[in-house]
Amino acid sequence: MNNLLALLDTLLPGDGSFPPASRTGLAARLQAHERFSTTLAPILSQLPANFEKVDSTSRVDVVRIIELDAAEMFHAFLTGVYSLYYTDPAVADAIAMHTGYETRPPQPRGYDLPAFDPALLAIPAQRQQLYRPTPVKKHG
Amino acid sequence: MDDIVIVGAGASGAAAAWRWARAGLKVTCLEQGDWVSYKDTPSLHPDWEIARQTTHHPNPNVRCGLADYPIDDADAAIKPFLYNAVGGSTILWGAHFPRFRPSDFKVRTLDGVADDWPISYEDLAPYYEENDRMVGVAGLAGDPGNPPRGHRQMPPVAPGRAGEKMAAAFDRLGWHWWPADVAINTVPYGEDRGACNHCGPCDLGCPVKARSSADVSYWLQALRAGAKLITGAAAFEIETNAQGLATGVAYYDRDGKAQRHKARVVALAANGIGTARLLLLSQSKKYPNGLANSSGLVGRRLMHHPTGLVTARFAETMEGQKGPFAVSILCQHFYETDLSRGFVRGYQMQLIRSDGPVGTACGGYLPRLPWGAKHHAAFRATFGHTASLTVTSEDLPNPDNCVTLSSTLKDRHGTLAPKLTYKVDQNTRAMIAHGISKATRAFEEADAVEIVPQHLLVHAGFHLLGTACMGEDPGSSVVDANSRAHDVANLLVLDGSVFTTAAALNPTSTIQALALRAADLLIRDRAQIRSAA
Repeated sequence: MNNLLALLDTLLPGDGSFPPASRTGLAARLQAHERFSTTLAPILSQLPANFEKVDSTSRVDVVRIIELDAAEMFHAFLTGVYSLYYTDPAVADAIAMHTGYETRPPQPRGYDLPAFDPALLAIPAQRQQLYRPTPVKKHG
Repeated sequence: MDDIVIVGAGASGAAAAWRWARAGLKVTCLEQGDWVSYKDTPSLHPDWEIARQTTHHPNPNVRCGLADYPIDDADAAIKPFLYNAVGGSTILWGAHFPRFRPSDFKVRTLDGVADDWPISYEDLAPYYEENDRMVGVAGLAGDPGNPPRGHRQMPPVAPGRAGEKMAAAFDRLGWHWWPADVAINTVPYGEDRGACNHCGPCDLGCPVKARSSADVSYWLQALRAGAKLITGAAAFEIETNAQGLATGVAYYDRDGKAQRHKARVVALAANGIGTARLLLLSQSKKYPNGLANSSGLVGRRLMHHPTGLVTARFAETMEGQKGPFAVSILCQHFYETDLSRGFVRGYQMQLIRSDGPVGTACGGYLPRLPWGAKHHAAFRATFGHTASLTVTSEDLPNPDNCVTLSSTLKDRHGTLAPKLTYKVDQNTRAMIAHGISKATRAFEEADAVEIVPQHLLVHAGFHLLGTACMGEDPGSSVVDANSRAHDVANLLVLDGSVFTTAAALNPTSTIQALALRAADLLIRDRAQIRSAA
């Protein structure tokens, strides 16, 4: 495992059904993405050379320091990481399994929703005028 | 020579172009952007949410599209949110379509603050009706909170689980709510426009064309009526003659070549930033401070709708990814002034649905999810389980909140970029604080398990208003009650720049009603209007 993969797994270690980031195509997509790839080098340069070799607790400590010291840069990097992780097919499968959400593009199928039920308005429809009386002076 | 040249093909420019073309006037519109293709909408692709951070980011400084101009927003507490294309910012909007209330036009008379509009709700009412018919509005007439209006073209949008839950909570609290008027088809309506299929991300474009935008609601009919539209045209000056009348518009075409379009009347519809920028750029010996600026108010009185947001997480899923993201039900219970609350004027609360997976993780309605061992559990607890209430407040005009010209920043043609200077005042802060406490109370009533407030959304400059304000007095306003410049007889302003005050709700229906009214009055008066020809 190299430093990038170790970093990604520190951020997104996976659990029961969500895969660790290193087992998705995230690293390659991150390196290839036109905008997000620009956030990679500055973050990797902050890591100690032996980052991949230290234990997981020490890795978390290193990343927390980077997050504190370079918040803006870290946020931009993490946005790219989260964005590409949650558009990975393996992660989409995990979301579908856990939530029932259909992890396909929203269009063209869309989703079903029950129509508005006018009975919901039983109370508000009974109210008297609520808007403020205002003098009427039409122009011209 | 054309009768009219319009700058900007967004909500107001489209409506006026349609009206004028139908009346037989020769009208051309210059638009710096292009047509949007619905065949390749991001929501058709698996990485649809990433488009919100890149090609469809609402801030032109981040999006950096070919049609975008940079905006210096370093001194602006609220960042700009706009789009440059045929359809303008309606390409990105959520399609809330409320009307002003009568009191919104008379805040000086009623509350002793800001200024009254020179027109009333009753002046605009017939234009609201006509605009609703063109755009197609889903909703329900009969709201006691608003003046009577005609039957909506379509039934309300589906409220979803969160909508039903919050409606019940508002009822228990005794707070008035109503299904929002929205410019989204719930049944097929208009030309080649289908019904909403609840896909969610309206802001990424609607391939069904259920969500109305000015390109699909007005432009097809305007072009058929004879209007002309030149895309890729970046206006940089309104030209005038020795008498001070407008003679046309100078612009850069898509090849970067300077062109000139002459017309008897010039109409600006480039939004509250673009219109002010163009007026300020149009300096001459006669108009050394910019065109139509004898009052010194061009660019001044910039108003937004400063927005607070309260997001709740529920134990059960709300299926909040389903349904048009920004619209559902609306609570205007705290809309009118009640000085016992500690501020003047009021606010509305709009119920917003949930983010998709990427938005949930990256944050937006809620803070970014934590990284590390707790990340996946946090995702499971949050995704689809949230709903949010906006606190959309009224922003009173302040001359120090303004659009000026940057001294250094330029667009790709070398034209000076606009600079925003904007602060939120104490009245607005008090209003948002009150709204956050009420939205929090509503979510408590609905048994939310976690409630998180955001006191001011920074990336919420979606309503750009007031920078060429309307009034009777040429010394204290830029345009008259008919949207014509006091200083230049044949110059109109059609967009939200003309707002005297901002109200506390989404302005597009009022912007379009004003544009239709201005267009009608120009048709009526055109024989008497002095023009360069």
